Amino acid sequence: MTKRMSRRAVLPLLLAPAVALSACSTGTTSDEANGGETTIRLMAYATGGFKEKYIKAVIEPFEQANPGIKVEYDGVVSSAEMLGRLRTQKSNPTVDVSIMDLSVAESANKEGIFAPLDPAKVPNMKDLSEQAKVRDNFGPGVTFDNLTLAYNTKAVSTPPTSWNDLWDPAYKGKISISAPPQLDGIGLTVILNKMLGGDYTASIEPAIKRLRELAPSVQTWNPQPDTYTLVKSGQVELALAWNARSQLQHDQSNGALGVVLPKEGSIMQVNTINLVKGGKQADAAQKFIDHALSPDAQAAFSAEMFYAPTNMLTKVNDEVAQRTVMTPEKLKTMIAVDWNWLAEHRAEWTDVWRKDVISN
Amino acid sequence: MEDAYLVLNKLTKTYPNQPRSAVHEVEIDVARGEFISLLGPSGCGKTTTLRMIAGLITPTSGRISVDGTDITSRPVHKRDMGLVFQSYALFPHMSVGQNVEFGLEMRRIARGERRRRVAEALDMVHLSHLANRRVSQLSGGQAQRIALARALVIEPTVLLLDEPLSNLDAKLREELRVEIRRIQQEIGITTVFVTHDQDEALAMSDRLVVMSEGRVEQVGEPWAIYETPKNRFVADFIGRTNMFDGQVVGRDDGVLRVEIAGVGTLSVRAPEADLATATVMVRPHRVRIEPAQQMANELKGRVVQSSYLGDVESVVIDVNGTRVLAERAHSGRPLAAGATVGLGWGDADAYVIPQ
Amino acid sequence: MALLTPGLLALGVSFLVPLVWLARMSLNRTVGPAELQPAVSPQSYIDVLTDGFMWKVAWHTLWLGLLVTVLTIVVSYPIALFLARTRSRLRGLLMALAIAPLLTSSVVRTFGWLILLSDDGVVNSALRTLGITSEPLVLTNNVTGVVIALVEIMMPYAILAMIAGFGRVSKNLEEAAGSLGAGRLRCFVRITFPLSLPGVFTGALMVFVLTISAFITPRLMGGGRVFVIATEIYDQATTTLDWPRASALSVLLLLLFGVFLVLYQRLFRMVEGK
Ligand SMILES: Nc1ncnc2c1ncn2[C@@H]1O[C@H](COP(=O)(O)OP(=O)(O)OP(=O)(O)O)[C@@H](O)[C@H]1O
Ligand SMILES: [Mg+2]
Repeated sequence: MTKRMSRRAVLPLLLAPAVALSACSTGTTSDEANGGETTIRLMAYATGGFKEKYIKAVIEPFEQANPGIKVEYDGVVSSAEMLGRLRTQKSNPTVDVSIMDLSVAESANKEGIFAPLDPAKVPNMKDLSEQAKVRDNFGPGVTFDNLTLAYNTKAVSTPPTSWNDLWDPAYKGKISISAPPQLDGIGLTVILNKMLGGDYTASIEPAIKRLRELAPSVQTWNPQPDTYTLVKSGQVELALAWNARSQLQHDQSNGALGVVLPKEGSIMQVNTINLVKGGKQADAAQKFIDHALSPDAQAAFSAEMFYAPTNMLTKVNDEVAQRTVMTPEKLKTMIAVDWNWLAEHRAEWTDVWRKDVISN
Repeated sequence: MEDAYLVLNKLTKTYPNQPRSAVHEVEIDVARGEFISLLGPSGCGKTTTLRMIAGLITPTSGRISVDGTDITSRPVHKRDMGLVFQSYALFPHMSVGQNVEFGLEMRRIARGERRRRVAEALDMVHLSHLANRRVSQLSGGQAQRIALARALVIEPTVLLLDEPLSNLDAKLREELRVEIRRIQQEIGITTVFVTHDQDEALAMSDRLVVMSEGRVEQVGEPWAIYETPKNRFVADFIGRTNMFDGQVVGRDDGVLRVEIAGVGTLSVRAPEADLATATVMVRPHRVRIEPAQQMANELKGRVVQSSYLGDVESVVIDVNGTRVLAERAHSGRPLAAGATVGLGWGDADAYVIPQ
Repeated sequence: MALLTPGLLALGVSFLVPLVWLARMSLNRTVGPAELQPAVSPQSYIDVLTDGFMWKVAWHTLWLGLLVTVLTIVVSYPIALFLARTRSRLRGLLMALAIAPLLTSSVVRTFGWLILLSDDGVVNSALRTLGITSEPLVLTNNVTGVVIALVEIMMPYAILAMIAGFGRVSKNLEEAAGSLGAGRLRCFVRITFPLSLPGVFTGALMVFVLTISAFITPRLMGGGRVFVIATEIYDQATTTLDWPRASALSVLLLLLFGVFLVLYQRLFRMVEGK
């Protein structure tokens, strides 16, 4: 009896990993378009205020200008999870447009999940900066972000100015860094390698060596629930962070979290806006994409969330320019990054980090 | 009793939050080598008493001594008492042999002697061939014999059995009764046996203790309890009986005359006593149906029901509204319901229950 | 049999379908960074099995599983034994208390531990106040925190499984042993403990399997320093997007479960003596 019972009790346990994995693939179903209106569905970030700000700055003005089109926002935690969902509905997509990280989008482009845009339907594409352009008219960059240092303004009297401040013994045990496979750690590797005079496509040994010295000072390589919360609460004092979210958190925390773009420069992260292949509303979707790439929408979203615009015609005010990389001096310090190359080497770098940095 | 071996002195147990004591000032003296049974209805405190003797329950007050030594506060494992449970309580993860050997191991007895004594004990219950069996492969009867061997192998001062036969079928019960008694007499061990089966108690015991609601009602040899119960409870509890309540109307040469409403005046031999009322008891087997000779007490009645039991016939007779039980041996064809019959018993067949 | 049909169907849908999907996915191929290509290829398995780091992760997982299992059983055993044997009227209440943590998610409980064990959390404050330590002990963002939180999270499961497996432990047997001369300690060693082994094994298997597949606690408490198979699967599935590799890892983890299940049944039969 006991034996049989225990076997039965164990069975569901075996399911755990299977269910966990398949859960990643369950997509949400689309609502029917309501009454003569066209509804397009946008899949983008759910986290860090992105959703609210994007609806306010981009979607609402679009809907006002195009009364026949409604945009539904489907918030998802990460680009990778977006790709996971899109994979499962590849044959019958319920999403029309997706905003996600450049390198993840590239996999989707190759897998035939996204379709190239029609330049005639998205005229704003021609005004995009070089870094925002993607091969074969696939979904182009819609926002730029960059790595920064975030710090707790109560605990830190002299704000950091350089990436080298991470090695300041004052911060020992008070540092948070999201390690690879997260892009944060990948980006930091590129920056350090550049600072130490190396080319990341050749070798990252210099950066890894320097990081190994940093390892004992790091409190967490996997901040939970996220970096910004830890910095605000003082659980950590200095952290590798993304500019847009840090700027937003700075405002929302009444300055408890401070943001610094280190003098050595940084790397840029690109979110692309993509047309889902096989979507039923391709025209409306491209109309929306064009709007998202327009100088007005770009300026509005930058003012809300401090992502730098990708359309070169975008006019931003001084404050926004100061708090993004949108000044010519800052742009000059940005390190060129081949994200597709990095995506190919991400697993490799992750292994090196684990073996040579984290295990120390 | 002067040569008392196991003595219970005003033994009392009150469980927390219980208004009444489960066992109340119980006084029992057990002689060395005596077989005594605790008998009584369910919940009367038999188990509680036995477990206090074993050391599994701490008495609220009172004392227990064995051979003159007070053991009231001695822990179970130092009491040296053999215990047999209704549920056998054999260790399921040990073989039969290991079960029997367990108590000897606890006593740190040398291996060779352990072997010898285990073999002897198994031999005593005629189960030597089962030494290597697993406990789960035993029948109920075998299991209880092993439990007995296990309890006896340690040569305990007292053997305690709590309804050891209740889980067995009737035939096995009778067989084991005989066997337990045989072994008990062979080794002469002082034994306290708990049961609610009167036949068992009457058949096996040197003496009986009848209990009710935590108190001892009567202690005595089986025949004495049966023939001369001390009170209505004992009379009613042991065996089947007829009891008549009435007014004493006369006394004549050791024979009391008692007037029973609706039945008539009964004669019963009784010791000298100044009684106004009396309860007369007659056991059914003493009641003659259609007696051949004249008897001191004669009644007429109508057969209500007759049950044919093989060796006897049990008859319920209505005498003017009073039910009388009778037993007829060698009856042949049973009496038909409705038939009118004469009944009778001698004045020595009846007994006056002391009030 | 007819009565079993809906159950079997449910089992088929909830268990077999994901399993088949998983097995199929593990044979696909990942090209470039994360491009999923349909294929029938053992490449993912070869990749996983020839990756030295994966072996290290597997070893870590087993080690963590064993450590948590041993600690959980040691801590839970007295509680389970007490609950299984007590005749107190409070038994129901105590039982409810012991398993109440199951009502909250392990995410919530892990965050709870994250706060309790942090540098200025209750534990470190207490140690400091009592003068036992001057510097805070690092109890979070490392394997120590993971172990502490996992043990607490696993305790209700262990207690329930052990109580269910303590069927042969009985007061009667202990009393019999007592009457035969066994004191408390010897009674425990010779009677209670051996009889409780089936419960211990059931509890241990339960905790072990739950621990080696635990994802949330190692992820939240580990500070990115604790690598186990489950976090690896999660990373592969949701960050690196290598689904074939994630699936292959899952299948291998399932096989590992299978192995332990068989070992467990062997052991169980040995203890039950059948
Ligand atoms: N642990 C306990 N707590 C409270 N009351 C108890 C406890 N054990 C027994 N009792 C009560 O004490 C009284 C005597 O119980 P005991 O078990 O001694 O009866 P018994 O004569 O052995 O009955 P049975 O023939 O049914 O076995 C009963 O009223 C019972 O309900
Ligand atoms: Mg009893």
